[in-house]
Amino acid sequence: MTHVVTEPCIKCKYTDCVTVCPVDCFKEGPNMLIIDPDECIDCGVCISECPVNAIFEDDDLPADQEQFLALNADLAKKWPAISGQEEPLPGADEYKDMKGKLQFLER
Amino acid sequence: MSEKIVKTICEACPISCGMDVHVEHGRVTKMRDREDHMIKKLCPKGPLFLESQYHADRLLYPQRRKNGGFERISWDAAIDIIAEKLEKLRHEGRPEALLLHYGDAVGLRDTRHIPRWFSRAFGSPNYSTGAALCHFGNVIAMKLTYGRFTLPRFGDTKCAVFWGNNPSESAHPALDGYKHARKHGAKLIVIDPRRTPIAKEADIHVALLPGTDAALALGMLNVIINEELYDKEFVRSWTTGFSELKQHVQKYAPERMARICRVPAQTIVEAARMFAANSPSTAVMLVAAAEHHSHGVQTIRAVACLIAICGAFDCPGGNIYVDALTPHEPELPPDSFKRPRMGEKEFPLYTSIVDECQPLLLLDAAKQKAYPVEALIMQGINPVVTWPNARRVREVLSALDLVVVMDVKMTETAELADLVLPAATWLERDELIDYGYYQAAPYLNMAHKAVEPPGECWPDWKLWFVLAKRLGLQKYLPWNTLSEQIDFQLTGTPYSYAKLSENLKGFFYAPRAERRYLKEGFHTPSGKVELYSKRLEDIGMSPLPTLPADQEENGEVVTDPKYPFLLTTGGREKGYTHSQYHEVAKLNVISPGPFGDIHFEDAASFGIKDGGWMEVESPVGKARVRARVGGDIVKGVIQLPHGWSGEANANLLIDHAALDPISGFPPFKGGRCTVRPASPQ
Repeated sequence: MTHVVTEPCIKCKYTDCVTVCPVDCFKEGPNMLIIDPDECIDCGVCISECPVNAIFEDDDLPADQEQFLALNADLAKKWPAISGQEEPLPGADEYKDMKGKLQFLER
Repeated sequence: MSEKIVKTICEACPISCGMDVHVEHGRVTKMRDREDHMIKKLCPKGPLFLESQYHADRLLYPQRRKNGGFERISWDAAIDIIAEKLEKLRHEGRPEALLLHYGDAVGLRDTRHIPRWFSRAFGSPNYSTGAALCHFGNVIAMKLTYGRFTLPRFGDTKCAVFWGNNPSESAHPALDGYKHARKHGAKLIVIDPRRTPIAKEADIHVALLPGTDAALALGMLNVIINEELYDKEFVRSWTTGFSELKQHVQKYAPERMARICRVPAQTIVEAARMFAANSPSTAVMLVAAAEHHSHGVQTIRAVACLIAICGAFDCPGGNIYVDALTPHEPELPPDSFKRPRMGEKEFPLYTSIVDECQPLLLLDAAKQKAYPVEALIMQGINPVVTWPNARRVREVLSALDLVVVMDVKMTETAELADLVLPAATWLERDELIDYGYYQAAPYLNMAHKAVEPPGECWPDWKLWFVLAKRLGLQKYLPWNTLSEQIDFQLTGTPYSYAKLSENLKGFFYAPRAERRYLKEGFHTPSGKVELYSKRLEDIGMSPLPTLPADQEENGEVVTDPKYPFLLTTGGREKGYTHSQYHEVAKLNVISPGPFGDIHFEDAASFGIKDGGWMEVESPVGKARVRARVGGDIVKGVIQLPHGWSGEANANLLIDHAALDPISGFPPFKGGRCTVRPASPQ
């Protein structure tokens, strides 16, 4: 079981989630965060912190976001850990409601 | 780097979830969830306990009070001090002047039997735990009604009821169970003066005034009985006192109860209909708000009657009960059973059902005079922060002859002690856990020691083994190691310390059964559900659930102009368990505070700013918190969390004298207060 960061995070990266994670399981890519499924304890505290509602429990993923389960697991193997909050990406507020952002994901 | 993973159980709160503890070179490095345990997720407290585990403020050696401070002494000297006092009490024929008070912080699960047996072996009937002010109000009311304590089986329920429970802050297994049911179309009723996250999802949110749960339950009984929505077959075959109850609830019409609760009458009617329509698959989570005031037991009695007349027991999606497997009891000296227990006269049902004394009577000067306590030994419990009327608690503890506190850090209670003893944490000792007791699950497992305790810390049980030998009581507590005691406790069961060490997944010791009452009846004197309680009648209490006297008289909740708000305290915060973990930085981020909740219209009238400091004053005292102004709390109510030390201690405001006459519980949710802006200090 794990929690999963999905599309709304892409090009936003608000990083509020990082401040509350008790196990520091967030990993950082150029324009997105993901959760390392091996470290996540499913405490759920991050879900309500995310200002764009990007985080879901794995068995609660919306149908169009299911691919992010494997994506989080794959990217966790290469991305570095992030343990402190950072500024959101420039333009985050413009991108937060955009759909179809997967094409912009930088690995 | 060598790494081992100790498969154990988290004890950061009583739920006891599975936990993998990673250890390198004798030090815990991280803690994660376990797939191979009944409970597979963790909350933030578990992994973040690491900070408490290695905190610079951990007590490392025994200390005694000297010249207004503390000086370090050896364990031998500490044991001498305690033994001398206890020998004197025994010699003078007053062993009952020893009071034991045992808490969550360093045990609470099956190790709690050891101090209980020590107390009896010594000759004192005065053993107590946090039962004195939590959880057991529910247990008493439920046992009086239907013989056992029940918990909701949410996973397959048709109607989940959270009655004064906020699961996203306090009970993730319950939340998971409910979420599963919700996906399959379950209804949700939430009863809370606050619009909590679970309330926001509810089909019906009854946003009642604190302390009016009895009115709500009685109004629901009135509707369900008069509209004949109850389970007629179950009532006929398995209850007694229905006709008395039916007649009794006629005066609790929803329109009248609505005025007390300050909710629309239609809400009460709809909640009642939804509750009954889905029965027996209606599951009620009642721990622990509604019992926390001066009319708590009668309130829970009303809810228990609701569950009962709908027959919502021991069935899919209903309310379940379990008989705990352990412990096997040792032979203890018969003489100690003859001595009157503290609280036996005042709270006879409490002392007999819970099998403990009611230590809150310590705060009553007249009672203390009539039944003096001279030695108080506490382990992992912090009454200055968690008992009602902090000022009075300080007074009483400061005046007692010998106060011994064994804990992991210097709490506000330890600061008043004569002797402070350093305790091992739950990562530093084994503990047997019978989930039948608190979680209504027939599951047995064991927490396994992960690392050695630092300094001169002892596990809590060692104090009793050593004192027993010192006082010549070792025939009653003959064990040298905890594993021997655990094996003794498991006598007569198929389990042992060795088996629990081999099979880390634990054991389910009873099969899932349904409607056991069809064969066995209910565990009451009549063998049936007792809607009319003769046991209550026999002690001069109403045998049928009632309203608090002032609500009965006035037909509404009345406040006084000096204290115009209702005060509710103790709303759970996921970062903390009672007074523990406030020193953990990341838990402060997850549960910032101390905050008091106030409605934005009230804040405007009283000059309170969001985030600004607020003084809360009750007839008992004052506290200072920051204000959280919003629309998620009903008007006219202030909510404070408990467990914060210093000036933010909500128990500075709670009356120690207004105890529930049946349980002896304090009115954590029954107070009155006012507010004013305060300076930042």
